[in-house]
Amino acid sequence: MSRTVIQEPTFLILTALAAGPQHGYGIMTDVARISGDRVKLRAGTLYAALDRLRADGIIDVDREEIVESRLRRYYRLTEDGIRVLDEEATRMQANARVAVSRLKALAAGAS
Amino acid sequence: MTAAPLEQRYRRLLACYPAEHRSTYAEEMIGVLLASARSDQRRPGVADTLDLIGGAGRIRLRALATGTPDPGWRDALALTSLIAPVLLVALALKQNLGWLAGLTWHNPVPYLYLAGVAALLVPVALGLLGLRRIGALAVAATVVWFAVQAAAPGGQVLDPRLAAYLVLIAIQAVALVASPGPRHALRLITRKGIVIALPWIAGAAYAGGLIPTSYPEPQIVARVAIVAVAIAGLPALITPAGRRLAVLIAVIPGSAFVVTVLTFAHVQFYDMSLPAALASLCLPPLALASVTILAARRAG
Repeated sequence: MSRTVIQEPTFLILTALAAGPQHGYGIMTDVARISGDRVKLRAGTLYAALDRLRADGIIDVDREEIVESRLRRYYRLTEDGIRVLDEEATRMQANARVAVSRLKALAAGAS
Repeated sequence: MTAAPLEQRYRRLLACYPAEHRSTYAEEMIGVLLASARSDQRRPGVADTLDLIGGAGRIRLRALATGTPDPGWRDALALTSLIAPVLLVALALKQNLGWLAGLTWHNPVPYLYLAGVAALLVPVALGLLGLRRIGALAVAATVVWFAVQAAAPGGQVLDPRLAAYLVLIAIQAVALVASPGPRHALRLITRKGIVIALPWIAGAAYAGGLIPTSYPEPQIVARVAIVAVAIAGLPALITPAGRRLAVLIAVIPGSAFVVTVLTFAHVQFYDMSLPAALASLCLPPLALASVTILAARRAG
């Protein structure tokens, strides 16, 4: 299976779900917390992403609850979702490691 | 109590989403939107509004790209793939009816012209044979040919007629790729539907001047006919597929109108006033769309 680089909002949604099943509003607030309030997902973006991730088999519905007469649906990572997030995190980590080591070398050369 | 009007307004915005998406996520989205709203908020914010419209657009585009548009659009696009070539041929013949009628057996048969008109039916014929994508390629080739002609020295880039043709051809290409095609459209149209729709189609053709008359009828008759056919075609708008088909078809006169305004030349083409010209483009397909109210059994 060919792997595509996932965009930051998607990465953050998957990271939020790595903590355990969460509902839509929970994902939104968690993504804001993880990104230090830099990424604030809105409902349109969030549900377009959730719909796509469900269709791709990356996430699935964990359970549904009715809270104050409103539907609350919890989502969780699937096996594929765990693998995709792991691969992406590893890739980003490797890139970041190279960037940090080169910046250190640059700083050492300048001093 | 501020939640009720805010919720109603959010629901109105969610109408941008495909019905299938709404049935799965609407209640959940409303819950999230209301949870994110300020306690005194009565209207959706600009950012939320744009985000919801953008989200709906992305979902619709993805459905189109993966070939899974909702049933209403699928039926409307299938009907368009059948109607568009019929309309193209009607327009092409109408422009030269006088010339064709004036031909006698002394004149050489205009094979080239007739072959050109017949070529407009090739994509739909391919679609009926189950070769939709090849048909769409044929349509795309026609668009390129038209564009090259228009861009050539002396070409009429801003001719409203050309714009209407090009848009109609482009819509046909999209319809062939993104829908089950004309075969599916034929299944949507029943014999009873055609019999009932025929007077509407004939009326629309008359109003639009597609059928020649041997005497100059008073303009008032044409106007009454246009209004009558418009009223007769209105039922098509109450079915989901009919509404969507009307949106697709409205793009054609819309593009012609924009080009007309851009050129600042005059608000006439086909030697008609603008309302009559727009009606002539809109009404025949709208009347055909009326068939859907009688025949689209699974248009919901």
